[in-house]
Amino acid sequence: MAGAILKSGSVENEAAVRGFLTFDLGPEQYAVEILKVQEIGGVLPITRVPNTKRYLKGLVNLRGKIIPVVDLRLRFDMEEAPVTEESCIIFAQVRGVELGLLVDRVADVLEIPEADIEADPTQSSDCLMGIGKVGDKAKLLLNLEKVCEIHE
Amino acid sequence: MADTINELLARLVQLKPDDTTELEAIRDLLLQCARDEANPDSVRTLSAEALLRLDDLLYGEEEDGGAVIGDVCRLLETAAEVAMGGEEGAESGGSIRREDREEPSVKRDITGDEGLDQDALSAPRSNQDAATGERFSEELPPDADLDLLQDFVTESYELIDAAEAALLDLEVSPDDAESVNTVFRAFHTIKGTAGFLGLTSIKELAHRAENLLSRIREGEIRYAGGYADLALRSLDMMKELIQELEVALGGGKWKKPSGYERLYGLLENPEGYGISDDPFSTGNVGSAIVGSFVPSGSGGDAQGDVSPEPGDDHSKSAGAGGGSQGGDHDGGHHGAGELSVRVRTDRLDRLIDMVGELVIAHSMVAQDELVCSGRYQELSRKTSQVGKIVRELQDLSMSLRMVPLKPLFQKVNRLVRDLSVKAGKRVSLVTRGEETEIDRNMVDVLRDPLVHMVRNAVDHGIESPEERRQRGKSEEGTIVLEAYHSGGNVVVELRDDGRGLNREKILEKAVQRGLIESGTGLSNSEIYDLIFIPGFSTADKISEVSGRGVGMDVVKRGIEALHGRVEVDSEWGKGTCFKMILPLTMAITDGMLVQAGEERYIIPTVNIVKTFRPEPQQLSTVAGKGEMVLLRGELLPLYRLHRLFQIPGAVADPCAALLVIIASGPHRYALLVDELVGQQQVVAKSLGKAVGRVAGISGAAILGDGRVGLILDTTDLVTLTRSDELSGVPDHPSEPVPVGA
Repeated sequence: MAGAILKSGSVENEAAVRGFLTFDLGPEQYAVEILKVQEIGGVLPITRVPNTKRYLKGLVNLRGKIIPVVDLRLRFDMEEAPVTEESCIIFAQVRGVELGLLVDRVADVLEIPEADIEADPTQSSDCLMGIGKVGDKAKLLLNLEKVCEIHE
Repeated sequence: MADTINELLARLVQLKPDDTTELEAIRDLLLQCARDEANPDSVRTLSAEALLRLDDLLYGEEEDGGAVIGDVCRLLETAAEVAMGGEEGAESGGSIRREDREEPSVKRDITGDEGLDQDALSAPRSNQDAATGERFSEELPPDADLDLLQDFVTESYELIDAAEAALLDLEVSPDDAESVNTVFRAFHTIKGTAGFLGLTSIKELAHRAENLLSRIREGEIRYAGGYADLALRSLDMMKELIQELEVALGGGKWKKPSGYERLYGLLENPEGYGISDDPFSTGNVGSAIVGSFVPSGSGGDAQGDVSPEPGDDHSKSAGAGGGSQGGDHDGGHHGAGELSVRVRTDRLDRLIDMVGELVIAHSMVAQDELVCSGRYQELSRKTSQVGKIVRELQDLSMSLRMVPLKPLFQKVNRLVRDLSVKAGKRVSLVTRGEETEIDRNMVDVLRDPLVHMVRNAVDHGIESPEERRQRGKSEEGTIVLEAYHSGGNVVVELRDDGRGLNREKILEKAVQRGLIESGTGLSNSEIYDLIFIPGFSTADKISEVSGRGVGMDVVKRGIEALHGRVEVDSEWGKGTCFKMILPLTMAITDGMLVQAGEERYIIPTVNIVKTFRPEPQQLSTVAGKGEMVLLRGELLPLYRLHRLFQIPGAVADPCAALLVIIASGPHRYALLVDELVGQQQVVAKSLGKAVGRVAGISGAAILGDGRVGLILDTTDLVTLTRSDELSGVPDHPSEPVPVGA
C-alpha cells in the first residue's frame, strides 16, 4: 500500500517527501519507511527455530514480547555474517505483525522526495518497492510486506 | 387460516405413518385450527374431526396408517374448500391445472398457491391480527443513533443471559418469585428501550413475553410444561432479534428471524394453541415448539447447535464480568452488588504478559551476584520485599482472567433440556461446583468437547424410559456435571447413569479394525481409552452398541489442546464417567527444560512419564522401525531430539545422555536429550504469524534467563520422525504393542 502511494503520488504537498531509515547490508544500502519502524535495538539473544525457513534467524524477547527476527542477509541470499558490535535489529510492524530485521549497521534517517524514487529497473526481487536516489548513491527501498511471509 | 391448512396438507402428503414426531406436530396444528375462533365453524368442526381421526392412529386404535391419513386429507380438503370459498368465493381456475402434478393418494384441491394465499389472507388478517402484519419489516429507523443501538444490543445480551439463568432456575423451583421477576424485568427493560429506539418487532415481542411472565407472576398460570417452553422460546427469539439487530448495525440487512410470526401468535393466546402447564403437554407442544423453530437440520453436527450459540460473540466480549446484571436492577438474586468493569481482553492479556515479564525480570535481579552474595543485607531485604509484591501482583493478574464455569454449565443445562425433549427421554441434569473458576480462554475451548459429551450422554448413554424401567432403573436418567479442584488442576466430571460402555464390544471392534491385536492383558481403562482413537469413532455402528464413541477423538484433541487429559470409567449397565482434568490456566504450562547441544527446549510436564539413562542392553535397532528401547517389557521407539531439530554438538550416545519417556495422544516414545535443566513454569505464547506453524513446536515462552524457549509439541514431533529415515516410525498409531507379556 505504501508502494501504491509512492507511485501514484496520491498524497500531495508535504507527503511528497517520505522518511526512510537506511541501513547497510554488505556493500549495499537499503532503506525502510520510517513510519513502519518501531525501534532499533542491539542484537538480543536469538533462539533458533528448527525446521523453518532459513532466513528466519529465530525469536527474541523484546520486553516480554516474542518477536521473530529475519536475517536480511540470508533473505537476500548473501553470506551469513557474524554479529558485530554494529549489528542491529530493526523492529518494524507489517500488517499488524511485529518483525525484527537483522542488519549489519544502521546508517541514517533520510527524506527522499518522491521524484527521486524510481521503480526497481531490474525487478530482481519483489522485496523491493523501488530505488531512491540520494546524491549519487542509490538506496534500495524495501517492501516490508514481502520480506516475510505472514501466515494468517 | 387457509395457509395453515395448506401447510397441513403439504405435510400430510409427505407423512410416514410411523413418524410420531411429525404426527404430533400435525396434531398440534389441527388443534390450532379447531380452536381458532377466527375460523368458520365448519372449518373448526372439520379440523376437530381430522384430529380425532389422527388420534386413532397415534394411540394405536387404528393400524392402517395410510387409511387414517387418507381420511384426514379428505377432511382437510373439504375444510380448505370451505375456507377458500368463504374468503374469496369460488375460484376454480387452479384445480384443473393441479391435477397434472397430483400425488396419487391425495387430492389437493385447494385453490391458489401463487399469490392467492396472501390476497386471501391480507384482508381478514389485517383486521383481526394487525400486529403480525408486515409493518415490522424495516427494523432500523432511518434516524437511528448507532451508539445508542450498540449499547442496547450489549445491554440486551446481558439481560437475556440473566433471564435465561433465571428461567432455568425456575425449572427447578417454579414458584421462585424472584426468578420470575428477573425475567419479567429483562423483557420489560428491553421493551422500554426498544420502544424508545423505534424497534417495533423487538418491542412487540418483549411486550407479549412480558404479558406471559406477568401472568406467571400474578399466579394466574404456573411456570411449567408448555408455558415454560414458550418462555424459553421467547427468550431465544429475543436473542435472535438482537443478533439480527447487531447484523443490521454492522451494515447487514435486517431480517426477521424465522418463526417470529408463529411465536408472536402463540404468545398472544397460548391456551388457544393448546399450551398449558400440564407436564404432558410438554411432549406435544414442546416438540411442536422445539421442532418447528429449531432449524430442522437433521445432520448430527447441526444438532449440537441447539444450545444457545447466539450468546457466543457476546460471551466472548463479556470477559470477566460474570455478575454484571446486578448493576442497574435492585438486586437480582444472583450475586447482587457484584460490581464489575468491562476490559478489553487484549489489554488484559497484555497486562498478564507484562506481569509475567516483571516476575522474570525480578528473579534476574534477585539472582544477581550482588544481591545473593550476602554482603549487602539491606539490598537483599529490599529485593525480597519487592519479590513479595511481585508475586502477589502475579496471583492477582492471573485471577483477573479466571471466570466461573457457571455460564458454561447453564448452557449445558439448556442443552440437556432440549436434547432430552427431542430424544423422547427423561433426563435431569445435576450441576455441582459451578462456581469453580478457570481461565476464560479455556472456557471457549472447553465448550465444544463438553457439548459433544453431553450430547453423547443424552443420545446414547441414557436409555429410553421403557428400557430403563425394564432394567429396574428409575425412568428419569440423571447426568451429573461437576467441577472441582484437585491437585492444582480443575476437574470437570460428566457422569451419567445410562447403559455404560460395553467392554467386549469395544474390544471386538478394536481387534476388527486392527487397532489392537488382542484384548489380553489390557486393563479396563486401557480398553475404554480405545474409544478416543480416531479410527474408532468413524464407525457408526460402534456408537450404537457401545453407547459412546461418536467423535471422542475430537473431544480428546480439544482437551489436549488445553493441556489437559480425559479419563473414562464405566460400568456396563450402570453408567459412564468422563473426567476432564485441566490445568488451572492455559497461560501457564508446567514444563521441563531440557538441553540438547547448545539449545534448550521445554517439554510439557503432563506428557512426561519418566526419565532415565539407558543401559546398552536396553537399546536395539529393529529393521524398518529404527532405534528402539526396551523398558520393562515395553519396546518403545527412540527418537533423537538433536536429529529431529538438527542441533549440533549434542550427546550422541544414549547411554551417556538421557531418555525422556513421553506419552502424548496415541504415541509413546523415548526422546533422547543431553540432560534435564530443571522444571519451570512458563507462559506459553504462539510463535506468531511471521513464523507460522513449525513441526514439533507448539509455542514459545520466555525462560527464567530472559531468553526465548521453544515448547515441544510432543504429538506433532512424531510427524518429524516419518521423514527421518534413520529412526522410522511404527505403522499403527496404537503402537507399541506390549511384547513378551
